[in-house]
Amino acid sequence: MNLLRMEWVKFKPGKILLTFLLFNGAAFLMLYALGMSTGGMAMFPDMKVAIREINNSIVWPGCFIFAGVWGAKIFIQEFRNKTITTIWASGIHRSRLAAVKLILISALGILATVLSTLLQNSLLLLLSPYTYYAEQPMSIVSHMSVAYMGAVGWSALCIGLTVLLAVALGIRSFSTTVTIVAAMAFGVIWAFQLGFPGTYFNVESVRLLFVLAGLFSTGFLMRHIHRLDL
Amino acid sequence: MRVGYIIETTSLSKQYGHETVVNQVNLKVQPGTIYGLLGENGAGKTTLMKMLTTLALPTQGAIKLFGTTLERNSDLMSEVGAMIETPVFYSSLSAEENLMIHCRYKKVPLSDMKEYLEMLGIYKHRDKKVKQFSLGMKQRLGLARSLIGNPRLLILDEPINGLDPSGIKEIRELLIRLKKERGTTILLSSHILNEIEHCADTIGFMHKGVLCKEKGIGELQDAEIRLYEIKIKHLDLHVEKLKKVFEVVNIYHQTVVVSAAGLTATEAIKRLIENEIEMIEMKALTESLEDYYMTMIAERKEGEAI
Repeated sequence: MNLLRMEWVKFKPGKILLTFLLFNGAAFLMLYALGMSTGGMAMFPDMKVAIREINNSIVWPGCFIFAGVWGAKIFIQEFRNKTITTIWASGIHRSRLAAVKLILISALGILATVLSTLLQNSLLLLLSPYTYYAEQPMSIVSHMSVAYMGAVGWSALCIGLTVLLAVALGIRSFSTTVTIVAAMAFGVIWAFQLGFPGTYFNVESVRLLFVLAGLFSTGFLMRHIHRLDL
Repeated sequence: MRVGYIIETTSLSKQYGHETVVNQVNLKVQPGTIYGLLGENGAGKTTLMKMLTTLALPTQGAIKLFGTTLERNSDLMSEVGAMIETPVFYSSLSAEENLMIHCRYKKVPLSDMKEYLEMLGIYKHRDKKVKQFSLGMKQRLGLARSLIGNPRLLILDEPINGLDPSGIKEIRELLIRLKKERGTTILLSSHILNEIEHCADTIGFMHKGVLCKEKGIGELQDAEIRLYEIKIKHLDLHVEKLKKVFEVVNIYHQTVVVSAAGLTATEAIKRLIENEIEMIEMKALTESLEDYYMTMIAERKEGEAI
């Protein structure tokens, strides 16, 4: 708990909240502009499909980038700036500290995804009468269902765990850029809904593979960190 | 349990690729002393210190701190304060916040911070963000941080870098005070001899990863190893003879410089006469610690060349 609290002090919740608000503000403006840009033609058959597509192609890839940026800041930057040396030299268990950081990054990714999705989707539904995403507007209440919440939760979990793979890649080169670019790449793959219909590798199982890769990479990362010379 | 040495390394080596950065170092540091590690840039001082603070794993050899073998993630590190290379901080946080984080990591009361900030003369800057600090102030803050938890052993890598002359004196006095009042054992490194000779009890000379020599400062200062600069008539005829009679340090023009440790001027002249070497003039030179160091390095280089 002490280690987690320290991470909180170092990275200041206010700063995280501010970037979260900026990210959501920018995403909302973009989505609003996009919804107004069709010149009266509905883009999707209904708001349910519209929201699913918007989440997959804009909101969730955006969450990947958000989590990747914070992953780079929380994990990689400590190595780049060498602030980690002071912590390690004071006798803090390397793997324990790494685990705390990874949990924090994952939790941040999950939380940011859930909150951003709910926020963006609610705003889109509220403004659906004034945008051209679908012919018929839809109320927030009628959209909220167990299936929807399940999809949001699953996606948040996928993003929160896959971003660990981006961190593991970044630590190899001590590069925040590698982490962010990797997170962006995962976001793009997510947006393209990569999958091979008719095979075992459909969209969901490809995403699951990334999640597993993220989890495996933490094992390698821990081992790498234990042996790492600074 | 009696602790013989605070630091004891056995055949400690570190290789990066094919390069041996630290080579078979047997370092022994007595409790309550200041040990100065002296060497040129790249001599292996920082790598040695990194191994002592678990930041780098030895390729070979063992380290004992307080009589116990040091391993990665060891609890022993809670009794060690360290400052390796340039001190780094969370630059967007204040000096006090940075120390607070360290207090929490070390599980020591936050009230300790004030004492160390005052001790290092930066208490009034405690609310300033570290990114506004000069190098000297960062160095002071780094020292304050290493003192948190009142460690039994301090490992300081070039602690006086970036300080002005009065700051250097102040830090030197602080280190001596810590040793005397708290019995703290201090290992510090430098490539500037003057920094070390005024506070260290023992000096270890490092060159190309090897701990070449260890000398007590008293031994070095008392001995003040002397050199004789002797101008010889027809020097070229007597070179071989001179080399047999004296420990020759240098030869140039008509002059030979000989080490005369334990040799009086009268004795030196007597040897010249006995060997029928005609002398024009002789000067006794006191060798400073710096000269000693330079001579030692030159000897090592000559040895390598052979």
